[in-house]
Amino acid sequence: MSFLQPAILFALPLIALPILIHLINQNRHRTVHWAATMFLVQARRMARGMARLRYLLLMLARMLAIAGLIFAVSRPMAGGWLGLTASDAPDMTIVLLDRSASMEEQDPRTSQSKRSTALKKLIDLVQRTESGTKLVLFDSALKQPLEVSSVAELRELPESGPTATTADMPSLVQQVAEFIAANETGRTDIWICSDLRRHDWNPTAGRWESVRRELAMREGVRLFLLTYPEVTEDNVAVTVSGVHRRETSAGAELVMDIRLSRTGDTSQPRTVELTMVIDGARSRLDLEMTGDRLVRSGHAIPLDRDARQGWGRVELPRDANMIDNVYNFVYAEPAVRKSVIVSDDPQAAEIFRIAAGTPVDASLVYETEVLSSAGASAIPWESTAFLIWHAAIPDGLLARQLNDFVESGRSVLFFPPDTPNDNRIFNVNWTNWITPADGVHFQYRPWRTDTDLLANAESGAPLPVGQVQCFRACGLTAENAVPLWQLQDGSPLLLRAAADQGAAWFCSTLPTASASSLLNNGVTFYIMTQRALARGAAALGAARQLDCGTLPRSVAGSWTPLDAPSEDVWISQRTISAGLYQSNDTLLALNRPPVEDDSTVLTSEDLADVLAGLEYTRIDDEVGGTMQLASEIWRTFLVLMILALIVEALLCVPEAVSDSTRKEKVPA
Amino acid sequence: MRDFIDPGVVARLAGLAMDARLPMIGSVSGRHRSPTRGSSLEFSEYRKYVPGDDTRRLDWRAWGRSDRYYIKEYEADTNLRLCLIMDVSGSMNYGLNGSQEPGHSKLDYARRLAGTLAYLAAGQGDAVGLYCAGPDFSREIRPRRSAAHLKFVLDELAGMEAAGETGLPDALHQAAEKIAQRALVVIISDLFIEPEVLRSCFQHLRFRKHDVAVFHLLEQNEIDFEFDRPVRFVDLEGAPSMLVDPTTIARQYRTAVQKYLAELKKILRDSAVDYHRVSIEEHYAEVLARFLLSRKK
Repeated sequence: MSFLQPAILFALPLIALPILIHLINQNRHRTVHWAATMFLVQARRMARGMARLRYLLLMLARMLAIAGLIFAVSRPMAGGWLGLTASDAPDMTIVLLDRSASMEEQDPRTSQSKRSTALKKLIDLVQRTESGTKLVLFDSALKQPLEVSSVAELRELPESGPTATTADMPSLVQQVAEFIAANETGRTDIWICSDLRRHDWNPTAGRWESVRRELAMREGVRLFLLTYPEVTEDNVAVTVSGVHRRETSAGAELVMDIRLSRTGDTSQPRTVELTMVIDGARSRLDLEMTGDRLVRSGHAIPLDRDARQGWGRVELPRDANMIDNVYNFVYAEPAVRKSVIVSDDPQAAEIFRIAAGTPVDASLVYETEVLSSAGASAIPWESTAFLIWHAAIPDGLLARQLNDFVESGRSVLFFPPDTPNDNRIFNVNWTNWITPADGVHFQYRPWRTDTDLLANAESGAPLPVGQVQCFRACGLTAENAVPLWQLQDGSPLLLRAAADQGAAWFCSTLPTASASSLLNNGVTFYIMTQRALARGAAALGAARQLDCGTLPRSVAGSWTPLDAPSEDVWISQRTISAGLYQSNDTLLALNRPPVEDDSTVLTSEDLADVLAGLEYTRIDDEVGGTMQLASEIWRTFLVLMILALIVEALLCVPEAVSDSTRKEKVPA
Repeated sequence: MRDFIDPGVVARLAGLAMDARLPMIGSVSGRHRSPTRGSSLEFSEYRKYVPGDDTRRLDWRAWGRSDRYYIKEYEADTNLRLCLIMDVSGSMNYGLNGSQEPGHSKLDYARRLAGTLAYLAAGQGDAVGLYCAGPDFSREIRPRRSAAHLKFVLDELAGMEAAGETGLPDALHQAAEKIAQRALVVIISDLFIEPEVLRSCFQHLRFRKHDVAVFHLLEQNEIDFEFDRPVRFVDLEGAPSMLVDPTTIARQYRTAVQKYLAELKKILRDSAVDYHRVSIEEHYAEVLARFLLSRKK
């Protein structure tokens, strides 16, 4: 609770006034010589319990009345959750805003999204309670601190608008913790506004440990979670994958896999009307959904034979979340899926070649090339989509070329050499080979199934990663990397290094029989290799499907919008909003990451684990809810004062004269 | 005349005789009924003649009419003994509106009552005695009829002072034992004693066939307990003082007083005691007039 007129609280000692008056009254007593002492003794004996209680209640009522008056005049503020703001305004308020696509779920009555509801309430709270406090916005899409001069601006800022990104909450909270440490912000309130989606919060992320440690050290930092965990009923989301053009006898057709998912009551079948927009031409497709998801694989749409490249999107009718109702795609002549394997171990190189060169899609062209580490300078950098590096980490020119290769959007998968060196690339370096303590094979922690190389299949089935046995692994040290698969002791077995574009993975073991059973359980290794290849190939083709939030904002300046909705997007917001663009000769389709359609919410237990050791206040709000986070509550105190006065008056009312206490004249 | 006896009051009350409610056994002839038959002018009854009766008391007219012998009997009149028992405990110093000014205390009021009653009794030829009930049964003047004795009693009343705890229950028991013959026992006290204790005292007196009358002296505020701010009550009989916020116990006080008065009244009624609750604000002449009238035959 905070006060708009806190100076008046200095009058609080006046609460003792009734006691003071009572004591003065006691000292002002007069002395009476009394004969009927026997009745006094009896009366005191009778009055010992009730009279004392009545007296205490009287004092309490008078003190409450004064306290109520003082509090009412000092204009207290409180939330719907009393005690939410239990002290004065902080020096700084940091708003940590989850701008992921799932935060755009709307209340159909008010058309307010979770994000806008949270913003509205926070603005109202800050305006009412925290005059003079510094306000800093951290949003999940840009991950940059933004000092806001006026709280009212918060609503209008592009940095607080909707996006089609996902949120990396561990990273974001860590940034906030580092910001607090670096700026010595003093008394700081952190308001995290999120819908607590599990994939956003990633409770198994190792970064939470450092976040907890960092925040626990800070005095005066209070954590508030304004959460919207409820999942909107009856929301349908659409994603499209595997879009490619195919020549047919009749001409050409566009082939794609369409996936629908829905929330709410999934027991009843439902017909979903899809609108397909191909190069501006619209067509309709009705799909019957039973259950919570539907995958329509290989859906073909006829094309003109001359249409070599183009764009399109799939649209759903309006529902609770508008962001997941549209999925953009582009198509063009597919690029050759060229993989280069750098290895000095012929056995391993052969395994890599088979995994990378075995086609997933017969309509695509696959090429593989094996080079020794000594011949790495001959890598055809321009035409290569995917690189498997099974050799010592290079330095010098080769290292820079590798960096450029990844920065251009393509992918590389590192495997440890027999004798690792000390070189470091993408902030990762190999250390030493290790063997399991039991001498048999390593035990694993659960791997990351929501995204990246080991993500579940489209059907939702997990990869058979658990069946893989690892007998030997090479240790590594990494900074800012995302572990995808870890040994029981937390050592990474597969991780993705930090890179603005493209991707660099490090796998600590080899597919050879002496190191692991990756070859025998070939599904896992094959799928992760093909996914890495597909990711790299996407950067090579003339049509690229991109996830929002994966590109730097600076690249979007030269993009040309392909459709009307994309023209309405601000340049600064292009990389984080869904849209269709052309960059030079490349067509770009930006969409929300598919993981955003996963509506699994972090449980309270998981949240407690994530924030273990930190004191936090969780406020579960409703989208479109009207309950204010803070409001003036002087009326409450005024009512309290009046009630106290009424109680005081009732206690002071002379008791009804009963027959036994009726006064009578002395003569009998 | 003493200053506590108002000649005007005496003159006003002189016309009202002080009668006993019960037959008295006196030593001389007087105006009060006796339990024995005597030779007064008041016819009592006829009874059959038995040998040995005085033939002078035969009713010859009755013999003439009925040819039977009847003895005609008359009431005997005698004097009474007025025994005044005065409570001289410290509480009798309580006066009007709580003051302790001379002339306004309960003791002064009691002195006027007792003095006037003694004067009236002596005036109609009755014997007057005085007993003082202080912390101990300190003073005892047996009833006598002489004018000199009245002076002695009045002197004692004039010099009487109230102090210490009450010894009224003991005094009443002792008086019941010491007053040999039937008497009119007049008790003047504030009676701040547990009613159950008083019950045995009055029953004892009644057992001795005394005609008992009680003047219960109270001041109105002792019942009303009207105080508006904290008061330190100093007990007139020496008990520890008490600092009290009267507003917190007034109701309980009044309840206790009412309970006490009701209980006392019942005990006195059961014991056939002539009870007079007296407010010391009221003029004692009125009280005495009421007392005398209520006892008129």
